[in-house]
Amino acid sequence: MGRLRSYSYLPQDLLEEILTRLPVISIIRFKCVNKSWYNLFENHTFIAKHHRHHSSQKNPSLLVEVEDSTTTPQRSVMSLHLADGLDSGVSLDMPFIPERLVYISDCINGIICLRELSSRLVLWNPAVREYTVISNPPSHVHSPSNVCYDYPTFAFGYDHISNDYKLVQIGTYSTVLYDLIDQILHPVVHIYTLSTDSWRQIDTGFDHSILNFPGECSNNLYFNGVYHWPGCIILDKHGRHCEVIVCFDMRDEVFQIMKMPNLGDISHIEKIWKTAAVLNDCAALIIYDLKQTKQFDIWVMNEYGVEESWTKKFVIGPLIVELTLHDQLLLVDDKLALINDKGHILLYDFGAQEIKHLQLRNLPGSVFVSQAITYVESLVSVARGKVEAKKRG
Amino acid sequence: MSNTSENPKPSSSSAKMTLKTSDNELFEVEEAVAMKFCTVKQYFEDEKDSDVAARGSTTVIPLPNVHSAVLATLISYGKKLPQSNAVADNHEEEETKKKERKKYEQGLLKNLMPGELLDLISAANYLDFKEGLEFFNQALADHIQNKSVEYVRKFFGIKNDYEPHEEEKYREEYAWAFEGVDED
Repeated sequence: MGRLRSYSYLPQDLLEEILTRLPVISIIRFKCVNKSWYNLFENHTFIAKHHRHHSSQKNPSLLVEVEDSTTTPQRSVMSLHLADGLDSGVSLDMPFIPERLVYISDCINGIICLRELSSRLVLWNPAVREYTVISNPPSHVHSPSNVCYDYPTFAFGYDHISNDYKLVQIGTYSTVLYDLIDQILHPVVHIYTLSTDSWRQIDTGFDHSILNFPGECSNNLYFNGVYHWPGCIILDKHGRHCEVIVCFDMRDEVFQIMKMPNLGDISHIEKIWKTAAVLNDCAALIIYDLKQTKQFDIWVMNEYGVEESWTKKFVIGPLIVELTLHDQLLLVDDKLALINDKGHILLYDFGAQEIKHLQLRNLPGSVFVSQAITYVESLVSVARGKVEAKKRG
Repeated sequence: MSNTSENPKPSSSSAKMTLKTSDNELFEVEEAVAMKFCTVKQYFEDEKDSDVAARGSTTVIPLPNVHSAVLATLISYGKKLPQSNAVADNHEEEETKKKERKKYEQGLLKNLMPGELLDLISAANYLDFKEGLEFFNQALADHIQNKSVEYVRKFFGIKNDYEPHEEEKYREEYAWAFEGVDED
């Protein structure tokens, strides 16, 4: 049965509906179809629609950093789908050879921020194979007394009002230095803006010292335009401190504090490992007590910003495997993924209430997996200072 | 494939309605399925009378933009969708139904020529059949995803307005996007 009518003409909105469903690689190829398609694919509205569509699909991907001492190059980033049973990893084409990555941000609109051990900062869109290197911020001269700030911490985010990407560097302290502090030391904050390709220092007016910033751990969360991480703030000179969720609003560039859920009487709070995540569009905390290694709790903030709305929603366990601090815990749609450093993935499906065990295929024993993030591809360009879409015609 | 209604029998289950295609074929369809075509639903809601059952068996709704072959496929797809008034299943039943639907969908797509997808999309759009439109839009995207630029131009009847050297330059710069493409 052939065509019943001639269809050289399909209404534009219908055509766009179809095209938003294409993967990025197909769209890059089809920019070559004609100039009108090229302009459509460069259009901000189309790009946003495309990303929104792919974000809503129940086919989550993970990006993981992989190190294999037997291969050249040793380090790579792989992408894998968690769809039923399919768990093969595909190495991503990296336009640069990374050294050890000390920081991989959450993926925002298909863009990832990487920080290498050498302090090189890179914004990368793996799907369109574009990257841009960001110069480092000026080193802070502002340092009270003789206390040095510890390693800086980075937060990558998006300002939806100005449609711009920001990288925030926060100077903070580790617990070691804490003992030496007899005054409140405010975090020093520098912000980089992609559209201007420049750094500026801001005064956040934040009254407390902050300890235990994420640094190398992936327990932070970018959600609702705000960067969250479980941390500890010093309340006063007597060393009283408090476990909270520290928030940095990317739009308004201010810090906020959110109370943790009431975990009960815990005497060993520093032994509790917390990871912020998103579950069913709500902010969530995965709490894992190292002293009881067989289970963990998931708390959900049913109403964002309302501290009383913290609810313990799930208790998962007992687990067959023991969790360690090197494991990655991620919430991917309605599944909990636990990834250990050997590339084994435990998937807990909240609906089915069962645990599936996946393994990255093609990974020999020499492999070490770290730093996993959920990933949705996009067409967003990271070319510096690019404001207008390129047009051809 | 198509049903012609003779003397509509009074139905003790759900009401039925009759749809008439561009090639004058008549289809008797259950109300639950027909209501998924929002254009049809609108046709009914526009009427002042409220007795659907009585009207359904006598009124013929004209669909001058839809051919019988296309409508048959859309009705078939509509029947396989989970009904809105169905009792909620437990997780296992849901999984089984999902698998069955997937099998049906794969079978349906296998028997379709690519050109028919455009007909189905157009008809689903005209009928405002959201689930059908979703499904066939995705099917078409899946179909062209790994095709060459030339195939896509031919399929949609698009003229290439690039200069040869422009196109060549683009293909070189983005060679990675042109690898592993299906043969035409």
